[in-house]
Amino acid sequence: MSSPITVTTKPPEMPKRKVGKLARHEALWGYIFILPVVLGLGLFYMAPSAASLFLSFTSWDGLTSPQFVGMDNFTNLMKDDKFTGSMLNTMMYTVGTVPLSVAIATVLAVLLNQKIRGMVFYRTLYFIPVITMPIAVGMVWKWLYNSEFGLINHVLGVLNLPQPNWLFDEKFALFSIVLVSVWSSIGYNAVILLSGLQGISSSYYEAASLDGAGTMYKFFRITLPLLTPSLFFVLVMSFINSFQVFDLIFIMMDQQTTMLESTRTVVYSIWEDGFKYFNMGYASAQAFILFVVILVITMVQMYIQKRWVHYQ
Amino acid sequence: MKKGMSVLITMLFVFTVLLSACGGNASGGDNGKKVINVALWDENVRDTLDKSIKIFNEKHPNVQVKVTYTPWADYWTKLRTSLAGNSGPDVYWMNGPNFHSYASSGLIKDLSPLIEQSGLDTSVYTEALVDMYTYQGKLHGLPYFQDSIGLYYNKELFDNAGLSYPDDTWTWETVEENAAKLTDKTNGIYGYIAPIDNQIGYYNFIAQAGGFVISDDKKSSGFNTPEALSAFKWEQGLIDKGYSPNAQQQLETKSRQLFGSGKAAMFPGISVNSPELHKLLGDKLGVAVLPAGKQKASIVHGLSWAINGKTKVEQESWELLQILSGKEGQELLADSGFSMPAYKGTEGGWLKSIPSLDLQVFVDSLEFAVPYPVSQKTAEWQDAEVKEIQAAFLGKKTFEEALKNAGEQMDAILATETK
Repeated sequence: MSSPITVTTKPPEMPKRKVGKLARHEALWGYIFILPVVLGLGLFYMAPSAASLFLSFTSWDGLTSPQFVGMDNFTNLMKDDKFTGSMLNTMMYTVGTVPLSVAIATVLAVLLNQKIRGMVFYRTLYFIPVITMPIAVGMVWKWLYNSEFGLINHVLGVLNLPQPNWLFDEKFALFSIVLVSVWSSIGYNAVILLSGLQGISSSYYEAASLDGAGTMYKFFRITLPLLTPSLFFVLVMSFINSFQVFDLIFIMMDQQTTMLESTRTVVYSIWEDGFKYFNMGYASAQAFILFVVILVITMVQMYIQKRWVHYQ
Repeated sequence: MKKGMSVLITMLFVFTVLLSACGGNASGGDNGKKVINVALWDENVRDTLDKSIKIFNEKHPNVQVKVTYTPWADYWTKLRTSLAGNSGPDVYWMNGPNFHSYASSGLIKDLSPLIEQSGLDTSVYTEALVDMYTYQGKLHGLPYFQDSIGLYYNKELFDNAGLSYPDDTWTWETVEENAAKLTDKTNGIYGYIAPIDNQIGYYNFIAQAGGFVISDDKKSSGFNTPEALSAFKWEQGLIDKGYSPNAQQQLETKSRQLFGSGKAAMFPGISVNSPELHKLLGDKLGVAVLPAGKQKASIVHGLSWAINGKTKVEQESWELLQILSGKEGQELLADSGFSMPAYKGTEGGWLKSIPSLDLQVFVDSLEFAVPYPVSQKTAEWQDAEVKEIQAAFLGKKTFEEALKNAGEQMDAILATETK
């Protein structure tokens, strides 16, 4: 009945019964220490998730009691252009954001890993967008993007380049939002990758230099392979965050506009159905589908990591 | 033993934290007084409300009125969840788009027995508002304030062009003639703003063309009709000729801002825009009734006070409503300049709130008022409508096609409404 901890901490001549009691005591304390977290997770994550899963099989307006409708919400969703469109937009958004953000963040992390004066200042500079409120980010970029008075088109005009209507032309709208989210996520990704870089032992580089390896060779043969655990983490998190994007679209787009056709994401659609139309069951069904999609993508990533992630 | 105690204390601590986090606001009066909980979103009306409650308390010293202001962004979610949880306010603000959804769920008290009991004359309120808050033939909300649409104009731009100001003889044709003369492309001045918005734009024009947005029985849409089409054709004509900013410009820069910065000579706007536009344009700002199409029409929307269907203080709440929406309360509201009161003949104070502007225009517009179109799922069909109509304004499809789609989608949504 003895656990490894008690065996190592207690003298062997102690009676077994007493050791068992202590183990139970310690286990009790362990449970007490995790109790707040377990309760918090249970109350604010697990219970609502379970409730949402239940609601996805019902029709509920938030006022009267939910009516069980079986799979109706899911079959209707498959026929709903709004939902399939928002799923497509979300995927395009993800495909646009994740590779761009991770690639730029990797290069940036390498640059920020050098030993030059004032490096702390530069690191802070690139991290500022991460700690800025999405509302502020959205509002400022909305003005930068303004086709008549915005800074971006002003500069383009001076350079005699075409001045697109960034947010109100369906060919550009999603792309414009992708740019903003790349800009605001680079800092976070770069910090994670930077800590990964600093964990790489300098002895590898010394050995490579002695053998006459160049900068690019060292980057691709030493830095990148040893950075893969951090890259893997950043990729998984970026995919999850991209699939859940809401705030930028909510702030940068009007709530009633045809432009939403090309920018509405799944979470935006969930918000619309849940808190604008109060079709809670229908919104929950979308949330459940999104959960499954994210789960599958993350599992696929976990599976293929064996082929490219190198743990030291 | 000592450890046992600390375990107990830890547990107690955790539960106290959890309980205080979950705890609601218990509604009990001080000194055993009865309590009326009131909910609304706009703090600008606080002074008026406090004065009205003071009058109420003179007659009912034993009733305490607790007012909660919840910002617009959270108001409807909070109201809905609290009413569903049987802890909602006794008296609350209700607007048109949400009314039918609440009334059909029994969350709003039918006021007709109370009206009968106190012999209240509801004809003192704007008819369009009484219509708006009538569910199954019975009034469910006492109108509080209202807004109508008028034609704002920039006197300076009219003077420069040597034209006389708009008046109540104007029609769609007059608008076009004058807009042509007022448009000054070299200086980026538009003669008119043909709004792509519904409340200040096409809802009015459809009614002026003799059409409707939603049928009286709330079962069918009026978008797919020749009348509606003629309204959009008129608007699109003005845009195509360059007299009005186009859809893309309006999507990006709100038409109100454009007019406020002196870049347009005429702009159909809501009465509540007056203070803001007056601040921007000063005495250059003028207002007239909306020019007529086949007939005159102006979209009227307003708020009402509703009583919780499950309130425990029904009689007291009803007394409070009669003061808030009664003559005295409505005069207080008008004097504050907040908005046009719903009670006929009490608007004197509001008319004087901007001396240089003829606000009487908005009161006159009530004669041909058309209620803002609503049903149980207003938000849902409105999104479908706006999506189609904006696409047509942007030139992505014809108005014929967009109106057909909008009409069909709206009909389909209306068919799912329960009642």
